[in-house]
Amino acid sequence: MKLETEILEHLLIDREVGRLSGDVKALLDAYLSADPHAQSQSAQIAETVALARQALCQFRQPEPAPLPPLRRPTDLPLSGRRNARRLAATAFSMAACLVIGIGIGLWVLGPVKEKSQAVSMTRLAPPPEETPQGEVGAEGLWSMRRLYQQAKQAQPRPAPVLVWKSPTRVSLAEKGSIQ
Amino acid sequence: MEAENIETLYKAHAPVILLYLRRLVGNGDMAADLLQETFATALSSEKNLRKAASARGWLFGVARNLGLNAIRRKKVLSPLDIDPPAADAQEDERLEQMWKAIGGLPDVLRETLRLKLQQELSYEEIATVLSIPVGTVRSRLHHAVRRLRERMQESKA
Repeated sequence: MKLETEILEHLLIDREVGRLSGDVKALLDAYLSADPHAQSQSAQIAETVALARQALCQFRQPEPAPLPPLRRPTDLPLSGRRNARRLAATAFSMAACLVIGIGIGLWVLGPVKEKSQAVSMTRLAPPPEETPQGEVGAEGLWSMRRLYQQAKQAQPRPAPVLVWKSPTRVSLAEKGSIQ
Repeated sequence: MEAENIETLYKAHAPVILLYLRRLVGNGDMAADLLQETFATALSSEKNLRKAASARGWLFGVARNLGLNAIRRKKVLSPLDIDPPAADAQEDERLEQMWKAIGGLPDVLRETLRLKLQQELSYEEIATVLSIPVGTVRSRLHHAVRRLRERMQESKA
């Protein structure tokens, strides 16, 4: 039985790079010993692979560098760690802004207790009737109700009017007689 | 991956990966940085490393990707493309011819050949490194050897 040239070539290359198992290698050797043409082909491939290995490995030699010690990721200035640090800084500044904003808001609107009570009351209470558009968010700093209250407080109180009522009443007849 | 395992992997594979990276990027300092980055990736990608059939193949694959990215960023040329053959090779005419023949191979064939003959990786490991099937590794390697053989026969004639 004669092997096809292409199959033989595959087997020979596999053998040269150490890919063939022992039993297949033995079979191939037996075949080669009986076929001089296959032998010459085997020799050429062996020579080619050996020469290629030699050429490539010569390049490998120049300067064997000492192996640097393994650095932990904490020591490494990796771009990923830089990004994480930048993200953390941004998140921190945003959180700080949020806290300051909430603080200012609470200070302007009054104590937290009243607000929370008001909220709980509104939760318990039945749903309110539709409020006019202008009344939405009436608790706000610039709400109409607040502005109205401020304006009301700013107006001077009218001077009290003294109304005197006599305990005695004069009848109309008497009035006419007086006249 | 536990620190001990990484230490073991580092001791076992770092020297050959460093050599590979030095050849790939052609710069010793950059290769050392890429080696550290390779093992940092191994530490952070514990699951992928465990899943890999061969830790060596997986590490080579990470090193290769990092090296290729570095080449793209810095526009470093592969040393095989720019370096003249070593002094011994110049003395030996056949070795020089082989050097030229390897240089004339397409990138994909040359890379497979280098991983096999220089790094002595198995077909499976090369498949992991290059993210290709084992059959493709075999066919590329066979194709490369066939071409080299043809070139050497042409130069003989």
